[in-house]
Amino acid sequence: MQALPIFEPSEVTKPERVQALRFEKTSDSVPVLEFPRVRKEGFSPWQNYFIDQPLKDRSVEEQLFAALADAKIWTSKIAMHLDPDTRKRLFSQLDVLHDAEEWDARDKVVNLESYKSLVRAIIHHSIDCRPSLALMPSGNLLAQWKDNQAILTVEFLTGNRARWLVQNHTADGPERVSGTSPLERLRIVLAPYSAERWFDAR
Amino acid sequence: MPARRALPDSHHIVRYIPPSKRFVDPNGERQGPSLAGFELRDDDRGGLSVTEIEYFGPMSDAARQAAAIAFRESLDSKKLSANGIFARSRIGTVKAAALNYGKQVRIVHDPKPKNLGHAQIRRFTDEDLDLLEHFAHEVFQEYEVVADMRLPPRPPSAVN
Repeated sequence: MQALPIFEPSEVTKPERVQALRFEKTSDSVPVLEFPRVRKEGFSPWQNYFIDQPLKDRSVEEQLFAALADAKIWTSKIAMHLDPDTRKRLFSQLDVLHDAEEWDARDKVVNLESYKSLVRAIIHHSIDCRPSLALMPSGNLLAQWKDNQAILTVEFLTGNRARWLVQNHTADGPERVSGTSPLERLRIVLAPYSAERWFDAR
Repeated sequence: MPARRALPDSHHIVRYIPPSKRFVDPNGERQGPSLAGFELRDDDRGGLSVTEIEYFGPMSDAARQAAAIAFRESLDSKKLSANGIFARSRIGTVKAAALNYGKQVRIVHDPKPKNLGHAQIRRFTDEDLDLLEHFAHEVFQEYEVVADMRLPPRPPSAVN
């Protein structure tokens, strides 16, 4: 008896690599489109075949949405450490800073690592007073606290570091001091300038 | 780099600050310019990019409008954000402020095809937060919000 020829499907048609679109029925009998999935070495077998585009290649709206979503998802993971009102205000400020209607095409969205540094500083130092926020051209967050004429401005850097500037009016004249410090040391390095006036609610 | 005409101390320059470089307070309200507006951007090649107002005529609402329109034309998007601001200063004030920080800046006319009033603050470096803050709050302390400038829309013939 002659052996049956072995059928070799092509790479493209191998059923384990590409699955056809399937419609599933919900309880309401509304068809739900399920996207095909690709099995490929190095990928999760359940990974959607719409591979994420690099952020820079996406539309401005998608970039803004993705940046805000990343920040909010990360915040949700540490939400138990953050006062709900502080979280709400941070989100509101981020939303205003990333308003698509106002976005300048030359701007960069918030750097998630910088945002994490800001939130970590708020938690680690129990900062009650809420700062004003702006975005540096790099995407780093710039925070500012004011107490009358005394102003503290901090750029939150990646790697849990902060670049800070104190502006103060003393009896002998205006004073400005700046430096870069690990986040953990912010209160210590700012202590000579009465950090509590910016950080602690009275 | 070709030598450019230095601008007189009595003239004024404006720097456009996009909304994301303005502070947003904890209530979500936009405030004045932050020092972020004075950090060098990718497009600040050769110096801090500004526009000379007097290039468009003696200091007046009309000259400031013309400077803003010329800046708008120089953007790829041809669009200014309504909450963007034009921060303004006198050239002599800018030079004196920079000198206090040991920087002898030159402010020179650097015309661009779409913005003939374009100028640059040369020898300006942005590593010093103190200088940037000084520029944002004391040197360029006068500013106008784009929405309040009543700029005419681009004429249909200018729309690409």
